[in-house]
Amino acid sequence: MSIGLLVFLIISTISLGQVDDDLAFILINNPIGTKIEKESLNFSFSEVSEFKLAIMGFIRLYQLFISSQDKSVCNFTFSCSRFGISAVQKYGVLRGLLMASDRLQRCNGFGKKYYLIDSNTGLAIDYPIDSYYLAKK
Amino acid sequence: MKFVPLPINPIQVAGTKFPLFSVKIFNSKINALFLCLLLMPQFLLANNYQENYYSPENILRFANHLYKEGDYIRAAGEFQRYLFYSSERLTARDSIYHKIGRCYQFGKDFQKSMNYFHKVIFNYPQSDYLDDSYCQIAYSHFFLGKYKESISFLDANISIIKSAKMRLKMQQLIGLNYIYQKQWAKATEFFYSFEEKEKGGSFTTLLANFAKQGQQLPRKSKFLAGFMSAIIPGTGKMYCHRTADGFFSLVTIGLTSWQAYEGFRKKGVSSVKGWIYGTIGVFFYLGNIYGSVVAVSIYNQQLENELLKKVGLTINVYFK
Amino acid sequence: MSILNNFFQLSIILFLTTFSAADDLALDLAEKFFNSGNYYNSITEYKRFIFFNSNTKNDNLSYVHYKIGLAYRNQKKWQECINAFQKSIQTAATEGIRDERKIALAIALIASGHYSTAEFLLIKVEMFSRIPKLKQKAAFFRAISAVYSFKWNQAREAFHSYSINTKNESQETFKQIDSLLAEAQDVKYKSPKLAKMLSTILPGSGQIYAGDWGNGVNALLINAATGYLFVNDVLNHQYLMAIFSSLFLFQRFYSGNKSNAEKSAKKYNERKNQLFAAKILEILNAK
Repeated sequence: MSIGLLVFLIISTISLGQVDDDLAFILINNPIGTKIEKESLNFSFSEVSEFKLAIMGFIRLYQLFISSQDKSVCNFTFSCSRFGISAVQKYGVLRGLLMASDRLQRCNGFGKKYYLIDSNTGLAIDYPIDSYYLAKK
Repeated sequence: MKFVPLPINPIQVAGTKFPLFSVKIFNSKINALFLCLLLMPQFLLANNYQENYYSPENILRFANHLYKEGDYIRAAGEFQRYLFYSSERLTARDSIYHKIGRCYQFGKDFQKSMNYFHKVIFNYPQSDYLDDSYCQIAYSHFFLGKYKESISFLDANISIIKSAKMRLKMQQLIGLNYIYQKQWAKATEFFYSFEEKEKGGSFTTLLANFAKQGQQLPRKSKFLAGFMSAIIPGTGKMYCHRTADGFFSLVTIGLTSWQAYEGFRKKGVSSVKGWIYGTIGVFFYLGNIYGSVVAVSIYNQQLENELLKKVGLTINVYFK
Repeated sequence: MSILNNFFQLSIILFLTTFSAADDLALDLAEKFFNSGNYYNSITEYKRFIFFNSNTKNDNLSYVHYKIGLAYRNQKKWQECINAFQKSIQTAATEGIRDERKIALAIALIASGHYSTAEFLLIKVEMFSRIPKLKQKAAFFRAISAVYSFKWNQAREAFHSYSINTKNESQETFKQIDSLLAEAQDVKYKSPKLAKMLSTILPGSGQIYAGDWGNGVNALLINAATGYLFVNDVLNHQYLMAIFSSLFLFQRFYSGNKSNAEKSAKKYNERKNQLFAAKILEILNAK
């Protein structure tokens, strides 16, 4: 009788009803579906300056229709078009365009040695854009 | 598995007159001595379960254990619990405040660590931990990157520090704060005047040398880089040792300019090709001048950062 | 005989009281914190219990490490959770408890995306555990892990093992899942190699084959435009410009088109797998 009680105690502590809780936990923490890392562009139509909006819109159109068809040849982790949009948004049209122009000229396969390399992607790390803002810090 | 605490207590089962009399259990009489022998291990184990975890001594033991394990924030919480539960006549509060401060410092919560060091300073002016508390506050400002605050704090309080060794370290920290702000001239001046008065030793000399190296770094000129790029595109970047970037700029601007020229030469001002390539060429040309000037800033910053890295490696050993 | 009977009965009482947590304040407090979702404080109290009881032979230690693991799991601190579960397994008194903890560890591994390690653990429990309910539970989670990794064959086999001893009302669900898994096994995937080959012959056709009409048409137009520029320059004897436009433009967009076609086919296959996995998990979650 006592041994039976012992075995009963052990088995009764195993709860199969908890399978539902565990499954729910897995589903909440690991939902099915790709997590596509979309480039966070902070692009919105609520921009005050139309000129800024036009430039950013132009770059965005380029991203959607032209650079999406291009080979993935950018040498940097932060793509040139994304850099351009961020620069224009943060520093205005003139400064942003100058920074974007400089970035396009730096985006060549021979200049990787000037930067730190991201171990996951093998691309050069060229962020943040503030490093390229020419003002006294 | 859900843990189910069972309500059975052996003392209740055995009867209230335990252990001197025989008792009735499950309709059978049983010898009390036999019962004692059976239940003795239970009472030995029960001693551990009955241990008062929340006595001040045990809280302190546990807090020290967490500190040793490296679970600093938890340890800080336990030390605070110890202060709360220990008697008001506890005189060693300054050591506990100091310990909590160190816990938060190791846990990288420098603001909270400074609060506790300030408590030692304000409440225990005769404490053995006073000197170290001043030093740790200055370090906290330094680790937070608040170099100006670190300097002003030290300027106001360095004379209060009794230990000569610690005062020397704090003097060196003032100089380090100047170095990390890249105020090389000030740092050099400070260390040399300090050397003359205090004879700081080899580490001070080392730091003074770093400050002097900082002053004498082979910096580049932004104006020259911009001017060179304006005359021959790409040369400004080559001046900053970015030969590949400079060459690429030269080729790009050269090609686009040539195409623009060809276009205008053939069809004059109405040439579409000329205008397109001309605009692109101007875009790259201006960007190249801007980029050359920025490249100089970055180059100079990198020089200084590399020197600061060397300084960092040196002070890691010294300021433990 | 009556003394022997008493001895057995008292042994049971002794045995049961060693599991009694009613006297332990730290554990009691830890449980209360845990149940109210205050995991940080519950971990502190469990650690306190361990500190004061690590030198004694205490069967609760495995359980306490397990609870610490659960607390870290709920905070999504996966590495600490895995370490705690492993300690719980090491200090488990019986094989049954050890297997139960292994399943808990496998669940944490599945939740954090480490499917192959979880499957390895669960297979061990399924093969060597002596408790049928644990074998069944391990089979279930092995099936879940296989669903996440899109291994339909393995998932089907694991669900079969699980469903053998389940109640009749659950059999309907398993039939539904089994038919979905059979469908998933027979699904026609798009071949990335074929997509690439099609795009080599006609830019954009590989993307269209993979169902990505937008990118396909876009690729066709851009390659047509850059190709036209190249041909136009050659016909006008502007060979330098032809080299420029072919090198910098046509070649880039043409190679881009080929690699995008391959990616489109892979994305299509991934989407299909995810649809099946989502359906299966939805059915299981609903039941």
